[in-house]
Amino acid sequence: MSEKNDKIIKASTPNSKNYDSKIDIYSKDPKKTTQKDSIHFVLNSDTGKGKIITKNEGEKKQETDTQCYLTTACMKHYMEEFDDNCYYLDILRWFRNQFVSKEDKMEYYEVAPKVVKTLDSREDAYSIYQEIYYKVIQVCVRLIEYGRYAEAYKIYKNNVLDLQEKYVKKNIKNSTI
Amino acid sequence: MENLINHIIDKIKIAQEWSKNINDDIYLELSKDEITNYFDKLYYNISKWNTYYHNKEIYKIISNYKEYESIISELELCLIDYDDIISITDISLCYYELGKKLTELAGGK
Repeated sequence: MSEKNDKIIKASTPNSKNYDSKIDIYSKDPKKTTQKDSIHFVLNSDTGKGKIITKNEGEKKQETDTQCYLTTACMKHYMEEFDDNCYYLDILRWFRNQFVSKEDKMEYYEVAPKVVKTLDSREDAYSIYQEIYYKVIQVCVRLIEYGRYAEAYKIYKNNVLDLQEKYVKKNIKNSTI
Repeated sequence: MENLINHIIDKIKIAQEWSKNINDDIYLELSKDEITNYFDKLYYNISKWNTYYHNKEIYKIISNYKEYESIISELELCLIDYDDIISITDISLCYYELGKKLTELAGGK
């Protein structure tokens, strides 16, 4: 647990059917104040799917599902034939669990929902997702199949940084102007 | 330590009573029965912790701490909308604070 600017942050493992990690952020210590605002982030580390629950004092909670843009790219590519347990996603999940560092995974989980949100609001979203499918997913899976894990990791990592630079940081800069 | 345990027990007792009268529904991913059973279990077991503490049987508390922490975490996830009534965030934070004290008592292990 850490305390910063009157915020309390703690992590736990909920006894949940769907999620294996939970991070809670409290605006203030509820024991010391009646104002109780909090944010709860739950995650399934196998699928990358999660949920952000925001609860403000006296209001109903707000839920946002976090998303994985690699899954979204596959969804857009396969459309009606999409299967969440398809070969490509299974290979990438295996690779992530075996080789991707915890820091890089956390970065992806942080960046991915923002990328999906930005892409989904763009008119050229479909073509960008197709590009991710062909230039990242297909290429990484082929490299993994041939055991060229370091190259696959490099492409994955560069892609996360590239998308973050193009669609997250630029978006933050634009929104602050 | 005693005050903290008593505070958690008091809050769980309120939540336990509340859970008996909620609608027979699914709350995110828990049913009414699961919620009631969880609060019953927490109340029944944590109520013994002051006795364990007085008898210097801290290991009995520590051995169950993680299990109940996971349950409280899940209850907080599913019942956050009712925090104004059952103070589930308060229970969750106090329980975490208790965990820190237990760590200190156990010599930082």
